Amino acid sequence: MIKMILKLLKVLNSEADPGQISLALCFALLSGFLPFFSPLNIIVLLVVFLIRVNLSAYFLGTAFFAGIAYLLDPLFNRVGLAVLTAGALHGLWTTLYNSTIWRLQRFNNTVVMGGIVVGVVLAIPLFLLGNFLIRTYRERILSWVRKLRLVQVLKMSKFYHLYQKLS
Amino acid sequence: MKKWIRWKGLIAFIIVGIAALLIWYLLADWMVKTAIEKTGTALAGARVELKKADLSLSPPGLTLFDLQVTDKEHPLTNAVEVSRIAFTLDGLNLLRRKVLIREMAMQGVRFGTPRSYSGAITKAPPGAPSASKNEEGGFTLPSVKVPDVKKILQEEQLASLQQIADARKELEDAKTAWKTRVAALPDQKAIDAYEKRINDLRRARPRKLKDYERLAGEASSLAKDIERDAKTVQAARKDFSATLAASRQQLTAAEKAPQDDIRRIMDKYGVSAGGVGNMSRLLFGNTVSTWVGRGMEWYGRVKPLLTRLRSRKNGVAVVKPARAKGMDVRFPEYHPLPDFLISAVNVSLQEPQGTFTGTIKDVTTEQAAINRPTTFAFSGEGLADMRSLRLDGMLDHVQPDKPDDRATITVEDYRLAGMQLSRSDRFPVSLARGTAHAAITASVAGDDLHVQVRARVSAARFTAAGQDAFTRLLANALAKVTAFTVNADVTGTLKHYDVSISSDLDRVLKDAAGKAVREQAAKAEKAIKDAVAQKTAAALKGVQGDFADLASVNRILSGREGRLDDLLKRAQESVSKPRIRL
Repeated sequence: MIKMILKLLKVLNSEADPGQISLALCFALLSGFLPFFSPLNIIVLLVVFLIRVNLSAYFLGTAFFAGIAYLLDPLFNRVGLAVLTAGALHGLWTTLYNSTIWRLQRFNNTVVMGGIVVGVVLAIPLFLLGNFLIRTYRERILSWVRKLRLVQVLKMSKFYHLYQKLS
Repeated sequence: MKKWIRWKGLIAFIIVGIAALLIWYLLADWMVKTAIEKTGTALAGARVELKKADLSLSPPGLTLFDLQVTDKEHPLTNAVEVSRIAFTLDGLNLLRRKVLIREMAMQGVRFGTPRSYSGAITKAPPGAPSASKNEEGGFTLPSVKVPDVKKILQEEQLASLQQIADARKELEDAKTAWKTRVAALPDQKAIDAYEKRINDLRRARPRKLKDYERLAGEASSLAKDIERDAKTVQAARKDFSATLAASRQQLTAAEKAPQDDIRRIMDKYGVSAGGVGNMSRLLFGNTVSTWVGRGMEWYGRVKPLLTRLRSRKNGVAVVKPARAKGMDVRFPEYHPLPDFLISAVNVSLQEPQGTFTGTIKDVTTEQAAINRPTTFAFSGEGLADMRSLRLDGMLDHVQPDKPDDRATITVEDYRLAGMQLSRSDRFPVSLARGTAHAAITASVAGDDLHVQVRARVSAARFTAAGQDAFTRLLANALAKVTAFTVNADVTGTLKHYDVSISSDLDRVLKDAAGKAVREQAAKAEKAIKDAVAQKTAAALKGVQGDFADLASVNRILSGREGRLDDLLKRAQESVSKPRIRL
């Protein structure tokens, strides 16, 4: 847990664009909510590697959201069941069901569909919120920490220089 | 845009992908093995172990070695063990999550093999107390002991004694009444007096007319007196005849009463042959019930695999996936295919008797999708204990609400040796040898169960030992049997069924038992007859004596009536033909 927090702080304190971190978290949300070895997840992973998003944030976020997904599975099940049994979408689902590529995605599983729906719905708000929070953190909290005497003294120490070399 | 695209990431992804594929390829066999063991254990409820799995990609297929499925009820035994299972899969349909196997080969299938360690996955609950062993070894014979006559007569009230006593009292009352009545009748003295008067009249020598008139008057008066007394005696005799007839009936009833008592006691304490009517059930019931139970057990294991539990939510079909969370929603398929289908399984079974080979066709949990039932056919020839065995059957769940499962087993020349039929201490029986031909048909339609067994055993030799006269008779009867038939019918439902068994041994044993019962019953009847006769003899003798005494009154009345009639005739002659000498 402490390691995760330190890694998160490292990401937040880095020079990475807030958009890249937020987008990584969005993709992490999707990856966390989907079954790990599902084809859709592999596509998400490809996109994550291809697009310049913060990989550390992505892997951290995936671990975090996978933990939350475990608790949200009953919600995913209900949402997925409602979506898959919606009369208006029956024709669409039937067409996808008869397609090998889509069957491979296991979209007809209620937890998978629920995870996708909840993930997509939460992705944009998460992106916007993430951006806002990261900027606020850097502008307010990080700059205040950097001004602290103790931090300045630590930064001057050999120990800090050694740490910077190794990290 | 360039800022957002990371081409190196694509290369990294490809490298990672290739590495993952390589790792998957290297570990695929292990992953398949683990998946089969884990899923199999969850489905079987007991440990499933696999020695090795060999996955092939072209063509897609799998070979499994040394699969062991633990028997959940007996964790130290394998329900089934298979040396090798090999099959190829339809690759394209596999991507659509449909396991379609055209042909599967299963070699070295064995049932009930021992395990070196327990395959239980949950701690067994404390053992239920075992059922107490029947002292007779499940074999209850009727009792044919001779009843204790002394004890019976002590406990039983003999109605005949009371009846005889009542008859005796009636006879004594009648005797007394008639004694009184006879005393009131004209006695010998009076009749002698009449005779003297008649003689006097006859001897008289009248000289005058007055004398003749006087004599005629006396003769007429005498005749009237005699007639009056004769009528009295006649009336008495008539009444006595009625009394005697009634007394005779009472005597007859009293003499019959002991026989009624004997019959009543024999009916209550005697022995009949009806109790040994269905001896074949006693001899073969355990064996039939055991085999029926075993068949039910295997059917119970197979049945859940024939239908996949499917429910409906919001009007669409949903199925709980075996190895995933949530539910899989089913949509109509343009070309419906079941999720799991093995078109043909070629099986080689290794049993202690020999090797059986067979084929199972259309193994699937969705028979409605292929519109064909699962069928199976097994046969074995030249086996150790039998000439041949054939098993055919069909599990028809094409219409899930109207299941129809059937099986036929035909056994030819099954050599029986030392088959224990009764472990009773009183009457142990075993079939030392025999050759059996059997045909068994079983069907389960819905919840209705029908099983029919027709078996014929030739060259039979029974070994039986009787501990008492009755069981020795049965043992002797069985020793003479060289061939017999056994028929068993099981009807009812899967949870509650009745087994009825019949055999031509029933007639043999019933005859032997009936003979023993008749002998014992005759002994018992004689003993009871003698005892009752002894008890009632004195009383009967008394009542017979009383009757004889009463009957003697008839002699007295007859004698007096005869004399009076004779005297009346003589008197009337005297009146009509006076012997008057002039």
